[in-house]
Amino acid sequence: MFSFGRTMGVMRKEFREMVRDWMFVRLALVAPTVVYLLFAYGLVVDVENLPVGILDMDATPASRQLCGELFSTRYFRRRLLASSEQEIIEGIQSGELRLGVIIPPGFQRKLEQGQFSPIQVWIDGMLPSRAQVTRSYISGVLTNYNTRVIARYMERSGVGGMEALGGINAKIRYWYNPALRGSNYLAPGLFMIVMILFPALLASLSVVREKELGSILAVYSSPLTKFEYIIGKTLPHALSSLLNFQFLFLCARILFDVPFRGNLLVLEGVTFIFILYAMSIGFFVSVLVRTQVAAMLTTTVATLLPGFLYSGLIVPLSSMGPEAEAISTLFGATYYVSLCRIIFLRGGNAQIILHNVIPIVGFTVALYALTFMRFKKRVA
Amino acid sequence: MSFFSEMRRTLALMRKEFKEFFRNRALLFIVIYMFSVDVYSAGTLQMMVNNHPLAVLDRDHTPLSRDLQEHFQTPFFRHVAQLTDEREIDDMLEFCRAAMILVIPEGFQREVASGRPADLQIIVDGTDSHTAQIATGYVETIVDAFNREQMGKRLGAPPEELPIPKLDARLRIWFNPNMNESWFVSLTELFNVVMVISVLLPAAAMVREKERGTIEQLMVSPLHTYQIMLAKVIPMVTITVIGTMGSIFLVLRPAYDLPLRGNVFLFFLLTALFVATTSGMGLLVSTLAETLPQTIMLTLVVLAPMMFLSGSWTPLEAMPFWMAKLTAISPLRYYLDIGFGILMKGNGIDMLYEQVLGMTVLGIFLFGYGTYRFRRMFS
Repeated sequence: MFSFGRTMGVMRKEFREMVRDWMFVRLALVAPTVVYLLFAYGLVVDVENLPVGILDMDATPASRQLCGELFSTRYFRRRLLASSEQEIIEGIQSGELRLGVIIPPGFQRKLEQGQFSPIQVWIDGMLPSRAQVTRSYISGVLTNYNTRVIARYMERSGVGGMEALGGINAKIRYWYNPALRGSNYLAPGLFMIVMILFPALLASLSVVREKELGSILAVYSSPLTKFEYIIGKTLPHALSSLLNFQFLFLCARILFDVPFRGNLLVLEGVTFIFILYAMSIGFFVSVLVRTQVAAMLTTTVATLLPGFLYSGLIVPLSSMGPEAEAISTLFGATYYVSLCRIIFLRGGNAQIILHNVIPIVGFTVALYALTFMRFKKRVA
Repeated sequence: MSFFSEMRRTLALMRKEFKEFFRNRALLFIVIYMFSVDVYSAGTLQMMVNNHPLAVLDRDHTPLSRDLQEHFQTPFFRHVAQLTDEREIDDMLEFCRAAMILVIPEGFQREVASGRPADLQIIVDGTDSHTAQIATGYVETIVDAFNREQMGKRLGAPPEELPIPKLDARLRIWFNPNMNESWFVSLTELFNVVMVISVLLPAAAMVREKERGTIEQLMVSPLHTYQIMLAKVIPMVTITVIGTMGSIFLVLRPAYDLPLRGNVFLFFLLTALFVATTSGMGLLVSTLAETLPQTIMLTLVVLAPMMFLSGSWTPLEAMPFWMAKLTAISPLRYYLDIGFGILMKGNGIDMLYEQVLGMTVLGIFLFGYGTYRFRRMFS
């Protein structure tokens, strides 16, 4: 028998407990935003301003133009104009340089004669994912330069301009994020980290605290059913987390200037569902552990670790291995990360939003069911 | 009082610390877990972008258009769909089934064969800016190679003998030519583990004495403050260095074939210096916290900025200027330079003295301030 009155009673108590502890109120209001900002500023996915060391042994207009084109992009920054190979080697060894470019003598002459003109490009491979990006940037710059060299060569040799060269022209267009701003991608995705960690912590701690303090015995002996108890605990914390979300949303819109193309109500609704999902993880943890320290550690490990590794927040889902991909489809945060990005950058239609919301709802129901099954109203 | 009897007292206290550590099975288990399973599993994380889902709308249906498609290969690209209609493009991108669409126009082969430039439409999902940029680089390289082949065919010469100039970049990836991702991630995790443990263990050992009230006994014993602190720190340094050795020789070497290019002995020596430095931070934490949960919270609060400021996930050059300057106060930053420098780059002490100096200065400060606060607690 579900009693609405009793549930309201639990809610009232939870709410009072929350507000009474003024320190806690301040922490609960401020901490999520601080964590969000810490990650949003700390995690830089854009590879820019790579320090480059250059050794130009040719010192001709052609080699200077190549250097100019290299440093006219936002990806590379000149750090060292070396006078010997040794300086570049030392720079890469000490980590001062991420990239070394060596232009040998005769560079311009070979290009003018229509030959292969080699240059050395050394990339710091310590962090392969960044080395991969660096390689792709430098290839892009060199290919563009090369195209212009060919065009000039063709003109001079009297065959005509680029048209005579034939071949194909790739016209690349970027959808959804035409300026390719990293924060447009990261800032909405990062909502997930905060909206999974804090509601789950609040949920697990609110139950385990009562276990540790012994006040849960009063709950056991009362006519309160476990449904009423858990539901009564859910709502006040879910609402306070939703309040937190408003701050995150403002940060993303104002501080990080992310365009918002979707419907705010849809985003709020989706977030509320995700908060319930996060809380269901917390409640499930709370039936497994007994102390607050254990609850804190377990909840953090159960939410943050997969949140960073498997949600597609940092590593795109498409480049995950089969096992990681399987884990990611069973993890609600994966869907919430895509939802935030879709609603912010694309707007999104009802079909795609439902497609991503339904799994979250399913996991939430399942976790609540598991919690109810494991929750025993008696002393173990 | 002779030097030796003082030494003996310190040693007795150290023995007690070792005993206490090994008696606590749960803690022992967590420490072993962090040095083994945790470090190993971090190494399985792959951050390189591969298998970029590509859909093709081929309006030409000629051998040449198929040839072009084949240039978009693994490991970077993965064909997910062959489209037949322009209206499908929207759906592909909207539902994230493909992240890039290649549109080959009608008459593509005819244009190319006649030597006129043919336009290729490429639509990239820019949501993930990072991946989109890498994809762009690959596209440019592929198109360049394709054009060269075509020209070679027209002029009847292999691409490398064409009478046109070619900027030929000889790429070399240093330190990690096969781009093995496990090395960086697992080592970073190991260095982070070393830091967490070297802050948490001494802090917990000290706070435990506070909670139980045994700290008063220590204070009335004929031991100096620095002796008490050394007796707490040295066992933790020993345990952490042994854990690091185990992690490198028993986990990372066999599992990921981690190269050890420099002087390993120097690395462990500097690890001990790093652990001593950060355990100063642990002692500082222990003067602020009264209970174990508080210690854990405070440790987290202290460690999170240290990790962010270490340059382990965000390299210094990608940080805003003020943040890059702030990294000077993170001991982990120096330790990462030292660890990667010795193990992967084979650097010697001559390239690392700045880091060693920075770490030592930080250590002296942390210890001095920790001792000061520790004394004040009782006066």
